[in-house]
Amino acid sequence: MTLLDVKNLNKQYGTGTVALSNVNFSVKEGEFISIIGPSGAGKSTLLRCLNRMIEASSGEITFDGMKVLQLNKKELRNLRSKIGMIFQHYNLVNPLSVIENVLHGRLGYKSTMKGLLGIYSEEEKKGALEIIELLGLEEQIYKRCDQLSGGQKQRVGIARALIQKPKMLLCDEPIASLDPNASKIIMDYLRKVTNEMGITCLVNLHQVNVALTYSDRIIGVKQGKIVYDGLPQYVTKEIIQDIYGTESGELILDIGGNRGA
Amino acid sequence: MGPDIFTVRRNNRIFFFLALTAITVSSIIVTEYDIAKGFTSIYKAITWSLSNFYPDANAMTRLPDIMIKLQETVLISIAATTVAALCAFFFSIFGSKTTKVNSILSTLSRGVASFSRNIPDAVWALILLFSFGQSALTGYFALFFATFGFLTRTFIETIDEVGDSSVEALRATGASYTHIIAHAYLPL
Ligand SMILES: Nc1ncnc2c1ncn2[C@@H]1O[C@H](COP(=O)(O)OP(=O)(O)O)[C@@H](O)[C@H]1O
Ligand SMILES: [Mg+2]
Repeated sequence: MTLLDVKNLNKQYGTGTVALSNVNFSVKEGEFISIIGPSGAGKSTLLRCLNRMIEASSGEITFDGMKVLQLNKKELRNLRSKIGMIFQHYNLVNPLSVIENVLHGRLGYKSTMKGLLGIYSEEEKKGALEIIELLGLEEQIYKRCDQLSGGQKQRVGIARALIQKPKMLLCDEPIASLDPNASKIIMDYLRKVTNEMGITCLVNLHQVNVALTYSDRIIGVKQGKIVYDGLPQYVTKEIIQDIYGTESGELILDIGGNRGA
Repeated sequence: MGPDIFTVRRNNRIFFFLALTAITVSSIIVTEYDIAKGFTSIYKAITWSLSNFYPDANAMTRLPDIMIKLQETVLISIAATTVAALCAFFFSIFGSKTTKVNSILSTLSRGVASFSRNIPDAVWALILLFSFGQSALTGYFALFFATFGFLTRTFIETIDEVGDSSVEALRATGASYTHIIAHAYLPL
């Protein structure tokens, strides 16, 4: 079943940079897709247009039957509550504890008063505890987030997204600030989220080998255009070179050689 | 080709200096201020204040009176600061780039804040003294305006420092504007 459908999507920042031009793709429920491409290609812009953190210039986006670009304010909150987002720099509220940050994921469902005072139901708190355990953070639960390691912070980020009970996760360079060990843990968790909970994942990555290892499908972006959309098995050296330019191509594909490791 | 940036800077500086001089000179003329006399009077001012402010026997008899006024002053300053902090909170939220509701309101609150901060509290006191006479209210307002401006600026800087990263995350969960203020900024 199609969960997300993007048609003729364009984005121009002011009168300057054209960040996306005529982007078309669709995503099936339960797919794990990596979006690869050089820095500045438009990957972040693309993800953020999907939940309207950035307003697209023109085009059509359908998510779960909703016409994303036509939603009013209230409907937009509803849309966002169904889409979790994970960031390169985790974007936690640092002075707050892990559990408080995780519960922020429920704010999209709250009335003004309840959200303002931070009133969460017993069920929500139980859900938060379960997810925190699932991500192996039970020992950090009352720690301030600025005392956590990068990998732990990103797991809090994932927990905050999961407690939304989302249909889709948008991950913008989730492992770009992490060491290889923590990166593997995070990617394994994301893959598990798709496999076991059936949550669709759209992941921006610049590590081609990681993308090839974990994804069901690869979308290659270059200068705001989709230049590849297909299975990771069919990503050849030529395609990588086309996306990244000739020099970097060899280097990245070499690492991509030991896939499945 | 546009004019060289260094030339523009230098011209700006010259213009600024000239404007400042013009304002100074015209205020001297308007207030009939005698520069030479201003400097020679410094000595007189010192002797005057030494002879008048030095506590003598009389001062002791007035001490209870002074204590009452002192207590009043402390209470006034507490009241002024609390109310100023509350107002500054709202103005800083409207004023900061990351939390502003719209640009007009933002510019307006920043403007009000810098205006009341850049006028020193002594000047506020003078202005209010002439308008309201010497009363508790005058003192209250003088403290209020100066504290309000100062706090607003400080709060705005703090909010800007948090940056938009956690705000972005909360916005992406579907949190509303008030939720974001309450959960991303108030924890500070
Ligand atoms: N807020 C913005 N204002 C203007 N230009 C921007 C803005 N954000 C991104 N861009 C430009 O849009 C292009 C795509 O950026 P981005 O989506 O961040 O790429 P990526 O995530 O692939 O590195 C870049 O050329 C970038 O400079
Ligand atoms: Mg990016």
